[in-house]
Amino acid sequence: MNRHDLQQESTCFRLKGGLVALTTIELLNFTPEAFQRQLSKTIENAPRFFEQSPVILALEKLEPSHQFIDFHSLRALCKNYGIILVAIRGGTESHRAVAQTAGLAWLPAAKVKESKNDKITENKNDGNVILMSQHQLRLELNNNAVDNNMSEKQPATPSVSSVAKVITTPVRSGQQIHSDGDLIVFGQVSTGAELLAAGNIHVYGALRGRALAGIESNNHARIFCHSFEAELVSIGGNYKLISEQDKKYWKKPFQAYLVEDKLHLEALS
Amino acid sequence: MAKIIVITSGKGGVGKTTTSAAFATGLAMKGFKTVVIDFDVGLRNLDLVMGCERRVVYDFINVINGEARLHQALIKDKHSENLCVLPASQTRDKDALTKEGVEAVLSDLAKDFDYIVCDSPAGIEHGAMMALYFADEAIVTTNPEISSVRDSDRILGILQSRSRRAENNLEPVKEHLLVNRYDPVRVSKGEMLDLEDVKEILAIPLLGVIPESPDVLKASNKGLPVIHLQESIAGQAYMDMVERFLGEERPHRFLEAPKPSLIQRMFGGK
Ligand SMILES: Nc1ncnc2c1ncn2[C@@H]1O[C@H](COP(=O)(O)OP(=O)(O)OP(=O)(O)O)[C@@H](O)[C@H]1O
Ligand SMILES: [Mg+2]
Repeated sequence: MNRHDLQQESTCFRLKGGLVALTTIELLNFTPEAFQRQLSKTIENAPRFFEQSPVILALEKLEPSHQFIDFHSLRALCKNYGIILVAIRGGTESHRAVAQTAGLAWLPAAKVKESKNDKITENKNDGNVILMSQHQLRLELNNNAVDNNMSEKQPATPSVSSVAKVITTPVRSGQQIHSDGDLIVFGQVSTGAELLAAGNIHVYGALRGRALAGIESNNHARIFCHSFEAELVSIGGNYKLISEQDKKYWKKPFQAYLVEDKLHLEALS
Repeated sequence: MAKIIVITSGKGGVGKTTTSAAFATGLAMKGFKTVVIDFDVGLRNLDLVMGCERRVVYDFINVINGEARLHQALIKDKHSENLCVLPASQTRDKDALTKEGVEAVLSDLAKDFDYIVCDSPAGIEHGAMMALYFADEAIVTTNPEISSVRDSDRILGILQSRSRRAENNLEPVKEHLLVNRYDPVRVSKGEMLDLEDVKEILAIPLLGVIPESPDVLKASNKGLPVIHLQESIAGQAYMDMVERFLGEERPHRFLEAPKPSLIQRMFGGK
């Protein structure tokens, strides 16, 4: 009995790594007025887009002339719009210092090359916590462009792009591939590699790494593969680490989908 | 145009330096002008395996820093006249290997040599990145065990995303698999991965399988690349690998445990 109490005492919490999907606001340009203008317009068009969700402010694309940003006020401003700013990503030393005093975390700049969207990027997140930018929202200061973009983006829930990304090379350990729509891989996906897709994932080879489909909470997404040897599968955030019990699907053609928020695994015959 | 070939692995101690020495020597024996470069700054040992450590005066970093001319740092191999060694620095900091510096030395070497063989350090840090960055082809060296295979997989990903060829959208780096320290007896006992398993996981063309052999250590203690030992199975497997690389067909040998001889069987030996 005493022992039990003691144990209760000593395990107040546990430290765990995990996968978190976060929305990223990518700053291209900055004045407080313009930021607020665009934000309020965005929310007018899609009132449920943010809904008290945690958001990362990415500074990699920011013009170098914007040295000083008052993250204190920015954070308060976001809060008014139901956005919880949790961290900045990239930026200069002084951005980092100001962010720190504003109680924001700092994340290293993402090294994703622009316009080489199809290229495989090295996954720099080797630890347990992987942040993925979920619905990336570009805040461009060209208001006309914004208007057009936003009227397309009418639906409050983020829509899945209908364009599939096709990868014809093997996906190796340490690599991560992201698609805004479906993701089709003609090759193997190694242990330690990671696939992220807003839509479905198809692997016409052995799936040995991690596959996360429907990452923008699309519960209709599915995962298909030619030979199932995965470490983890996830649909719409419902994930499963593959264990001994799942070995009955091992090396078989396979699919996974959700049935009422429960992940269903199935060998395809 | 000279071909740049990196011998890489991810994991340490799998036989990159042994392979670099044997492969470069084999190419030279076949008549190609070959230079082998040690990228393992601070831990140089290619010169030991090549048996030229006493003749090292200047090194790769000296050349990069302009403290010595390339021809002053190159060491002529004592066995094959087509072969030169460019040793690594024992003392310098790895950051001295700048991309521009490495590129300048490689393009100088490309004027005089047919093949430039780069012996990569272990890991995926700066030195390993520099060794693979300019490669046209890669010999991914693996031992038949899971951690080594996993690291090789990682290196393959890096070759196809962060090398010069990948960054400039050129034809991808050509990949070759070399399985080293293969021990059929231990494989049959399940203590090591089977060759088929390694091939399945990495899914790149197999260039060679080098058997586990005490000759490798004996040769390197003498400063003689093992490919010179024609009676050694490791030496023969390296020569097969060189010939395969040059386009000849060679069956893979030494994959099965040797059958006990008649005498051994009669006397109940193993
Ligand atoms: N086929 C083999 N049979 C037996 N021993 C071997 C074989 N290949 C390599 N070795 C031994 O393994 C050790 C490591 O070899 P080597 O130095 O070539 O590896 P490396 O990959 O270059 O190591 P590092 O990562 O430290 O640079 C040496 O002692 C070598 O003699
Ligand atoms: Mg070595």
